Amino acid sequence: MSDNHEPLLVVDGLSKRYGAQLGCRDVGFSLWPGEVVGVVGESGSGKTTLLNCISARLTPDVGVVRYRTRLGTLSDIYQMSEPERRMLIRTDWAFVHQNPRDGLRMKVSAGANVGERLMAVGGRHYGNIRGAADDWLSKVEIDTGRIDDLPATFSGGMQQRLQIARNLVTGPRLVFMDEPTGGLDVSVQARLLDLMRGLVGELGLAAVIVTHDLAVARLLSHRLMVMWRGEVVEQGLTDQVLDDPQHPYSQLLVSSVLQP
Amino acid sequence: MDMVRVRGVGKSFKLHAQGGAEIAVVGGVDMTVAAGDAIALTGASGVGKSTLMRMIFGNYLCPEGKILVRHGACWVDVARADPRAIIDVRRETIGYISQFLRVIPRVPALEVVAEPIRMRGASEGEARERASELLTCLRIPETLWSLSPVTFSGGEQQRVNIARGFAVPYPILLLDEPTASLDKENRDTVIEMIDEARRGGTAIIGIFHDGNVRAAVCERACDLTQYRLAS
Amino acid sequence: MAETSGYNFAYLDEQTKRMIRRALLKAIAVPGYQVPFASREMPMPYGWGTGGIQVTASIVGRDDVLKVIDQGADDTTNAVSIRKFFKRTAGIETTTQTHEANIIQTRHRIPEEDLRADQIMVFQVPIPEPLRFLEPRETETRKMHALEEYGLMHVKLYEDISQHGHIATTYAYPVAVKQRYVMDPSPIPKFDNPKINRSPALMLFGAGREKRIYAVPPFTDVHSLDFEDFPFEIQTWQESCALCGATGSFLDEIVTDDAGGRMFVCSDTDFCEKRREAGHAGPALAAEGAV
Repeated sequence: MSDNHEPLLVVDGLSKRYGAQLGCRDVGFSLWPGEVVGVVGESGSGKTTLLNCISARLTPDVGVVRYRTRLGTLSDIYQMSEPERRMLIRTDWAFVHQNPRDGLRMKVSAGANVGERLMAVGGRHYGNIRGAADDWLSKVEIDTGRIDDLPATFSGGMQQRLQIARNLVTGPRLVFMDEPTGGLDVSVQARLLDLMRGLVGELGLAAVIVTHDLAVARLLSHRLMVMWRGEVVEQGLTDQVLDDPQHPYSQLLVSSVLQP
Repeated sequence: MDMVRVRGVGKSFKLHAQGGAEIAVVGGVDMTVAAGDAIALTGASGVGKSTLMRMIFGNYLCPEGKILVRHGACWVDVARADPRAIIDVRRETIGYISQFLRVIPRVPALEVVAEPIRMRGASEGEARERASELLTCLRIPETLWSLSPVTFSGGEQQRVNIARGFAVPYPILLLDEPTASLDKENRDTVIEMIDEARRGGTAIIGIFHDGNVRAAVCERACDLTQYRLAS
Repeated sequence: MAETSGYNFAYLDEQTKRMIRRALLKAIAVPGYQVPFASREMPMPYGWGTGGIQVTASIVGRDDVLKVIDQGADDTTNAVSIRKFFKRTAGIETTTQTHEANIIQTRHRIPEEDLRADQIMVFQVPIPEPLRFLEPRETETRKMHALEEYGLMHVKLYEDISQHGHIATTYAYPVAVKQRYVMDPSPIPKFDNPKINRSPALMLFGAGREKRIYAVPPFTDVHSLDFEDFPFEIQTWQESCALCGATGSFLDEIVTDDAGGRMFVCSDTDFCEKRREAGHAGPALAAEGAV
């Protein structure tokens, strides 16, 4: 953790419109290694737009997104060449989609799904690749006997865990997650969250997690950003934002959560 | 050596859902706590004891005044510090034992207690060993260690909470009704643990409704009634 | 046979030939890279070798000698038709003998005989894109080639090994050209892949329906994709050619009767004939006492 003092990701003045429709406006924040930032808000708040802009999936209209590459320099991700950017996406970054089908190759086996990124960066030893896949399947609590099965035969929770394994196999430093527990049964969510919490802690990952579920935000994130109508209306320590919300919308959000 | 200096701290809540109604709680709070001090926050229910404690922990925002905390060799103003600094302070300097354990499903009791130890760099084995000691001390049966506290009784959950709070030595300890759900035997154990920490130099700020416990732990009290603001 | 009047030499107009030759030059300059070209309507449907025919038509000259094979044989329908096509439209000399030809158009095989520096192989290609079955989007496969992102290719090989215990691809086996572009060598058996590596002959590939041309210049490194612990292997047979006794050539399995009788025969008809002329005999001929 020696480079803990330098931010890993710096976002400045980010704005994106869809024609007349506002996506997000003037968003800025920094992310340090090992830190998890949650972005909460309801549908239409702009949180997914924000996530896509900072993960190089959607070019913003205005603003800069800089990432500290392994060489140590902060680079503007939209000024990089496409090969550089694609390499980053494949090695240093991970993106966990809400629907695991968007983040997996459904027609190849679980093992191939996990091994793909290794092969993409030059892995050429079948035994080693399979071994790494085996390793990761057990880390995400998938029965390793299913390494040759197709993801279509997995349950939703298993597919999501497979997606996580597939993303983490190259040891990325920054993970983007878009509603990672959306659509899963409650008990399945608990298992997934526990896994994510463990991995983030163990691997020292930095993460940006978009979610509408405050409980997920509280569990996983150190800091929280509340978005409303495209703008960040409040940000700070997660427990502080949730326990002592200042902005009217934050207060509304927090008070609307049902306590079972 | 002073550990906590609260200077001119004020807090009010603005409830936007109720037309922006503002609830003033406290104003101008001054308090100093030194190493080895144990001070009780007193006053009627609603006077702002928990609120002040949460502000010291950085859980509530502090709009007025300063909350200076000795963090290592320097002073940090929790009221103005950025989130990363506060996380640092919470890991190394301030421990907080709240009234209720926030339970995470699936995390076993042993792990709940071991986590802060591991976060300070201890090995898996060391962390578990120390966690076991504490749970034993607080009479949590070993059969429960591998279970999540979700199904524990209120008292058992509280004891796990306390064990976690004492897992690593903190220079400053905040205790909010730590013995509320405990029987006499366990209460005495906790009092002893608090006293031991105090003798070791920990600065303690506590809220105790039980007068006996308060008397056993704290030699001073700070009555917040004097800082109360009219709403 | 004389040229049929009314057709330009080798059927295509001269401008089209120039366009195709430019594409060929580009392909040779970037070995293994698929060059798009304006494929013409030919007097036979797609799937019948229009790509190969267009390439041959663009490079053939009056003094050239053409050999056409299909699955190694000169006498199958397609080979015969194409040879006739060029006889009619170009009036050039044709042959069934590999060593006599300087242009060899082929579907699905490379001749057994070593090729020479003055020879050109023209391959008929159905699907030029080696990644097509893994990634259906053309936009994506173009990017993958441009950015050298070939992990997906190895995913396919990985799947083979996990399912079958070995790499199951036996023809159209993907190769890496000059450690850069991954190429589909057309549906030749993997047995023939090593022949492309550092061959003295120029190898040209034409896909008519898909409108792509690619090439491997002479003496270019071409290696079949594999894993370190599952290296590339060519097919072998326990049998030898029933007719000529060859043990190192690609054998076709021929069913001889309804009782399950079969024999293995060289796929390369010219090669087999040469061996028999030289006096070699396989078990079938030896049995008949034809020595």
